[in-house]
Formats: sequence, C-alpha cells, structure tokens
Amino acid sequence: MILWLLHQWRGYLYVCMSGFGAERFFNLCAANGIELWEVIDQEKNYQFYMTLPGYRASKLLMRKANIRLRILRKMGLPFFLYRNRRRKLSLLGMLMCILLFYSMSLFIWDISFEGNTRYTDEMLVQYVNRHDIHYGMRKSQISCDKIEAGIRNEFSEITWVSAQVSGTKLFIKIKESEVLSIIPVKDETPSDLVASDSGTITKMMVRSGIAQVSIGDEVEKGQVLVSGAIPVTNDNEELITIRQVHADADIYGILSYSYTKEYPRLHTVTVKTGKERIGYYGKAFQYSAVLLVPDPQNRSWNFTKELHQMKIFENFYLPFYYGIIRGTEYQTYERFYTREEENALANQIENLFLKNLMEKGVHIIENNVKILDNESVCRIEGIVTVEKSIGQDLPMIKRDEMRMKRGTYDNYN
Amino acid sequence: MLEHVGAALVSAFKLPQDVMLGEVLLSIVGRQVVLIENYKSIILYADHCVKLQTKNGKLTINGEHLIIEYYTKDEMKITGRIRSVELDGV
Repeated sequence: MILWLLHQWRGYLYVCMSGFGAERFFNLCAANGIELWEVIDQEKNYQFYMTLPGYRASKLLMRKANIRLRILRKMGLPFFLYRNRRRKLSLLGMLMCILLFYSMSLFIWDISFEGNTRYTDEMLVQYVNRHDIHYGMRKSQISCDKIEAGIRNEFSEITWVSAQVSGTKLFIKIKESEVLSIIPVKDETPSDLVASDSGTITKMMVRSGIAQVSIGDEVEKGQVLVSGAIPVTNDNEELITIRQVHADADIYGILSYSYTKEYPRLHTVTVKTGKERIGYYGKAFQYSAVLLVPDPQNRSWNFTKELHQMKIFENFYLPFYYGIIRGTEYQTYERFYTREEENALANQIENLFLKNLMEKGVHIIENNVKILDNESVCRIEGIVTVEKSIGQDLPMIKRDEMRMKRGTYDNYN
Repeated sequence: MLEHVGAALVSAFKLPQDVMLGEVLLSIVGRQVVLIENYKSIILYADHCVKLQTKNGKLTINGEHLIIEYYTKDEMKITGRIRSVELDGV
C-alpha cells in the first residue's frame, strides 16, 4: 500500500524495451537502484513498469546496454496533474476536499465504549456529555487523563479506564471490578422477626432470639415469630434485665396467593401484506434528509432504518451517515381470541406470574387456574399454594414507636 | 582455504549460511511463486526460463509465462507456472 502510494506520488511508466542487452540493462538498473517491476517477456521485447525518476536516471544505462525504451502508458500524480492542468476548478475542488477532510479530522465524530457491562453506553455518554465531552468537539480540547480520572471517581464499580483518541474516534476502554465493592454489613440492630404473610409454618431454624411459634402453627401477617428481647434472670429466676438482640431465623410457611387478570377478548391483529418499499436516508452534521416516495393511498407501513456512519480509514469517522429505510406494509383488524389462543394466553400469564414468584426464591406446591370468559372480557383466576420464607425484620425502636402511637391514639379516644 | 574455515565456523556455531556466507536462499510457494535471495546477476530472462548467477554457480528456473514480479540488487520474485529449479556450478 505504501509502495503503491509512493509510485502514485512520484509517477510511473509502463514501457516496452527492445534491443540486445536486456539482461545487462536489468543488472545495471539493479546496481543503480532503479526500480523495475512486473517484467514480462513478449518474445521480441520486454514490457515492465518503472518509476519516473528511474526512467530519467536510466538514459545512460540504455546507451550502455544498447537498448531502447518506448513509453506505453504514463501513470501517477505528476501525469494526472499535467493532463488536468487547465481544469482549475477541479483542482480547486480537490484542494477544498483535502481541506475539508483535514478540518474534519480535527474533531471527534464518534465515541465508543468497550468493556462496560454494569453501566450502559447511554449512562457513560451522559456522563461524558455532562463534562463537556461531546460529539463534534475539537480533539485538542480533550484531556484523556481527566476523562479517565473522572470516570473512575464517578463509577465505583469501574476499576480501570483508558481513554484514547484515534483518528476522529474517542475510545474509552473500561474494566469493571469482578468482586463486590461494598461488603454487606451484618445488621445488629435489636429487632424482632415478624411474619410477612399469613400462613402455616413448615420449617424453622432459629439462630438468635426466642421463638414465639412452632412448626404447624397458623400465623397472621405481622405476628412476632422470633422475639429479639431475651430476659436475663438471676439464680432465683427473677428478671434482672432484658437483653435486646437482632432476631435471626429461617422460617418457612405455606400460604396461598390468588391472582386475577382480565383482558379484552377482542384484540387487534396485525398482518403483513407482503408489499415492501425502500427509501434512503442521509445525514450530515445535524441536518438529515429522507428520500422515500410518499404513499398516495396512505396505507400502514412498518419502517426500519439501517444507519451507517461514513469513514475513510478504520478510525477516521466522518459526520456523515447514510442508511436504507425498509418499509413493510401491514393491515390491522380486530377479532376475538379463539379458545386455543385464550388457553395459550392464560398459560403465558400464569407462567409469567410463577416465574416472578420463583425468581424470589418461592417454592410452588400447587397451582389452580380457571379461565372465565363472557362476551367481551376474558378473566383468568388462579390460586397458587407456595412455600416461602415468611420472616421479616421489625426493629424494636420502630415496634415501640408503633405501640406508643397506638397507645396515644387509644388514650385520646 | 579461508572459505573452508568460514564454512566450518558457520557450521560449528549453527549460524545461518545465507547471511554469513552469502549463499543463495530459495523459497518456493507451490508451483506459482519462487523467491530468490542473495543472487548476483541476471544471465538470461525469457518467458520460459530465468537464469541467475549466484555465489557458487548458476540457478535456472524453468517454466511457462514466467514474470519477474519485482527484483532488487539481491532479491527477486518470480511468478508463473514453475516446472523446475536447477542448480549447477562448482
């Protein structure tokens, strides 16, 4: 590539050589550093490429080797400029183009992030935008060190940042920490463990506190399951003090959830007709244009746009975009769900509900679903029996406040 | 005499002979490409034959439609349909 550019820059010739001392000429050229390439033997003569400076330097060698060179083609920039010497506007256009590319190379036209998984590109773009780093800014105004330090300080999970300007692109490479940056602190505040739901207790394992219920008991929501107040008695079993601890236990209970979901039986169906349209999209800086033939019948179309940013080299992005707009025609109409569709939809809703429950660590024991429908509405009713952890912390301060409030209210009444 | 000593030394120290003694180095890629290094001069170039002078003799490449892709003072790349490569000399 570099050699090709060099040949283009200096100019080169395709020549035909005739005479008797061909090999001598080749050897003389090699000895004098004259570059020849793609040498072909054409029975009576030889044809090859040589550079313009090489051709000029080989005049003496031609005489020595007793050969003649005939120029078949002239190529490269010097010949191009000579041929187009009268076309001043073209030359001006070329110069303007070079100037335009040069001026555009002074700005940033693309920002890319690599290695981020916890923080989205949008979050990082918003951050850099807040710090006056944006698309279209001058490259000289960018301080990569500042960007790196700023990102590390702003996002605690990011441990390593590398910002680099290459061409017209700002690369920000990120490494995130793979371990938790904050170690969860064990809660030691005095508290009781209360029931988060009503149900029947199936499993209990108390680590701290005094159990107030046992396996098989029916409990109500808010009922104390494990008390964090531990009475301290003396040898005569007289109460000396009450030690307050953080009640800690695994308590599982069986309970039932009911859920209902209603949806209209009439729904809109979208059908593709198979007709397609193609349009073109172009954008330069903030100005954009769309080339799409309007539809006189005003039918419904679903459009997708494929956007590409123009670039000269790998990282030399330009502020120009082009894209193809593809439209597919569709029609909509309303109809009732069929029985199969209703069942499928009910299954889908049920699965979603159960999936949500299972994600919370709930063990599903039984599930009963009924589909009830009338003319316009379809109703799904379900009762699901589950086994789940029903313990919930209630700090003693909060509990006392609640009691005091209740007491004041009672007194007031 | 000196040449023999040099060759013995290069062999003893396991040095590359093409670099130390200027021996011709040939690389052949299939039947299409031959790369020659350390040649001295071109003796003959024709469509079916390229004959080169090397330090210790002559190197002949026979084939069809032979083209010298490029060459410098000590390196040459020949493409075409290679039929044989011959070394003759001392």
